[in-house]
Amino acid sequence: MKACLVFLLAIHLLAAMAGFVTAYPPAEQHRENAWEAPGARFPLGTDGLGRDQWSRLVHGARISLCSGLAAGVLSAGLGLLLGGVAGLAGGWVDRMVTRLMELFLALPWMYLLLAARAFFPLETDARVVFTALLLLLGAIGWARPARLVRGIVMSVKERESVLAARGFGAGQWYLLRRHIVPETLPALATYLSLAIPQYVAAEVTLSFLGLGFSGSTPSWGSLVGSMGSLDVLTDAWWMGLPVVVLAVVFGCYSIVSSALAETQRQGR
Amino acid sequence: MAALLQIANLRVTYPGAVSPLAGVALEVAAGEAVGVFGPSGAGKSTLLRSIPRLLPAGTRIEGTIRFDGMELLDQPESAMRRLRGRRVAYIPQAPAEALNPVLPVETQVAEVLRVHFPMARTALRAAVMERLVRYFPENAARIARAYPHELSGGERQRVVICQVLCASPSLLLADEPTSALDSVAQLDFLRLLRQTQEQTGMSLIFVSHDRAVLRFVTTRQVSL
Amino acid sequence: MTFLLRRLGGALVQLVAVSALAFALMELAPGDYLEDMRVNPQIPAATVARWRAEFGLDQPAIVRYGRWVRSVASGEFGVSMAYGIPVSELIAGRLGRTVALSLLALGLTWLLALPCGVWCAAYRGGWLDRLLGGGATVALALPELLVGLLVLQGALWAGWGPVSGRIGPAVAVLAAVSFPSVFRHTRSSVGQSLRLPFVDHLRAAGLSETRILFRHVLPASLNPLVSLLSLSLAGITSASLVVEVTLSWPGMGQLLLEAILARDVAVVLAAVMVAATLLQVANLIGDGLLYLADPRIRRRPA
Repeated sequence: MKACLVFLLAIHLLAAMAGFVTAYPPAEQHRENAWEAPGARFPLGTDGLGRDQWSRLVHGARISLCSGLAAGVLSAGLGLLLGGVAGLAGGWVDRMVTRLMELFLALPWMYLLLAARAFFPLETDARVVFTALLLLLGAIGWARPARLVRGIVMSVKERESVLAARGFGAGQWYLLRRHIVPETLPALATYLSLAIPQYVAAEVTLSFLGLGFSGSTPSWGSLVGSMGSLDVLTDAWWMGLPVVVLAVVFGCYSIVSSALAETQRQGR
Repeated sequence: MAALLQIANLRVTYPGAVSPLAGVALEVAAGEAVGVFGPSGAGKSTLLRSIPRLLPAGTRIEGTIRFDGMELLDQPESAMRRLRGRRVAYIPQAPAEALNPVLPVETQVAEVLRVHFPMARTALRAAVMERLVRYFPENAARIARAYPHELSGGERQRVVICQVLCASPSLLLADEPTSALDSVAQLDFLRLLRQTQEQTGMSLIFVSHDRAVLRFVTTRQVSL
Repeated sequence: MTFLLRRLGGALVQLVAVSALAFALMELAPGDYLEDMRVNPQIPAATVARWRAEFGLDQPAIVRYGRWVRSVASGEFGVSMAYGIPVSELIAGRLGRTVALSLLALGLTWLLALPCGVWCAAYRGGWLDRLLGGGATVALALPELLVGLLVLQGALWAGWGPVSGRIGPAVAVLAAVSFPSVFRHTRSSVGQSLRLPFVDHLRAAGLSETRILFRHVLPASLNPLVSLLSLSLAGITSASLVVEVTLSWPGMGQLLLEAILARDVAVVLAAVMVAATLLQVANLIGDGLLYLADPRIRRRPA
């Protein structure tokens, strides 16, 4: 668990200092060194365009981790807002939000994600894709945290201490600040630890399918996308190395989020 | 009369090196009803559960427990399993809660019966009904098909007694089965237990922290 | 019975909502199938306009939605603009392959995860529990795409021969991806049931551990697992889309991807509807199973 946390921190640090730990920019082409196996000059080899795979991996981490983090925070924020409002307001507001929540939870989200992706133009620059991804993932992902928050709000509302505070004349805002938010934060943290890797995975998958970042933007998805065809793997085995690295990253994410969920369960 | 059960020098040590029992002795004759009295924490349950060896894994039991000429502490687990329910039966602390919520009564009684007397399905059904009728003369058919949540607390207790005694054991161990009941329900349950014990002639060890209860169901009381 | 009927009604309402949502999304998207042709100088504008009229693209959105609904009712699901044939014909074979893949993966997952979960709950801390528990923890967040690619790579490096286009590897990848959550839920649910008083009672009555576990504890733990069944099918339906593309299994996934790239609206809508319907059916079956698995729901005390 500790080792995994350290590893994840290291990955984030590497991504933050991408410019310092790589010898070449990710898009720079070394045409005479195309398809070069890992060596002293290119630690992870080069792709068919002669780009340094190590540089693409580290720079790609920036975009992928950022989109995962941002989408996670966005969906959690939306969930907190909608779930909180539903739980506090009750009545028809609650019924409507719950209906919508059920609808979103009942959808196969990968299909929905792809269909919604069609909403945006196919060929666009990286910034537009980034915003689009964020909006998509946030819009599709809000239902789970919303259900979580709504459940907590409903149970907190009925608790003796809260009823007592009400009796003393505490207002909605006070209850929200002192009772409801502190209860929901740990649950949301656990949710985030599961959701962020999921959103990173969504970026990787979308870009792999050709619906996210294109090959000229270094992201984990576009990096993995270049090894979709079999002949790449037969001819250049090192093109598969990023997949192994990513698998380790996701394994670490799983271990950390499991540990978080466990401590939260015990804390209760 | 020869003793059915002879316990001597019994010492039980739980994994955390806690020994609630150190050098206990108890003798029960065939057909005798013995009450074991003691405050909570005195090791009554431990004493009772050490007889069919139903203690948590890693517990050390030393001394002798002779049952019907057999040294129980030397028996392999498979022999103990054949003994449990068939020769030595055990009524849990809250009998009304001891049924599986998702299986009908009939199946639950049949499950115990078929472990000890393997038989064909139709014969098994008949045997189950025959036993249920003893405890529910008027409505055995309804009870057989019912699920636990459809029965009253008293009916569930009767089902558990029927289940525990369906293989006609020669020793019944009762671990404060009435402590959770109100006084009327308690009296009903104790009457049923005493009556059954007298009819079948089995031995009974009943542990409780309540002397009045012990005097009602047992003929001899010892303190722990 | 009324309970199931009400659920059926709810499912229909949800499907209509999904269709409207998907239709609206496609409507708002910039460009349509004829976009490329309009900017192509070789095709005269009049031809494009005729095509537009033929496909009904010049009608207002609400009219087209109405047409589409009528087409769905007749079983056609609209006409694919790329292939020029009714969508139903286009997806018929592919749907079968996707359903086969998903159901096989679902079956394999549960066939493995259920007994493993039961066993590990009973012998917590044993070698199997530590092995599978550790494995499930590591694999919990592993995306299906990476697992698929790792299998491709591994097969290549180990020289297992072709993996693509075969159902075996695809089923294995899907099952591997969905195993951890089913396993963990089974283990925790059975772990809770093991603390119920009837377990000790049955042990005292002489039943063997295995008999207690599988004949008594497992049925008592099924309630939360039945809801998980429909959830896991939802997960597999989503994951199969990616696995199909990765391992080249000719199901709905490849078709949907092509349709999205080509703006073939009718096909995209049909794929989304099919997936949503699959899930609704799964949920209905789940409710039905719950009804069977738990007598407390089946028969309420009078």
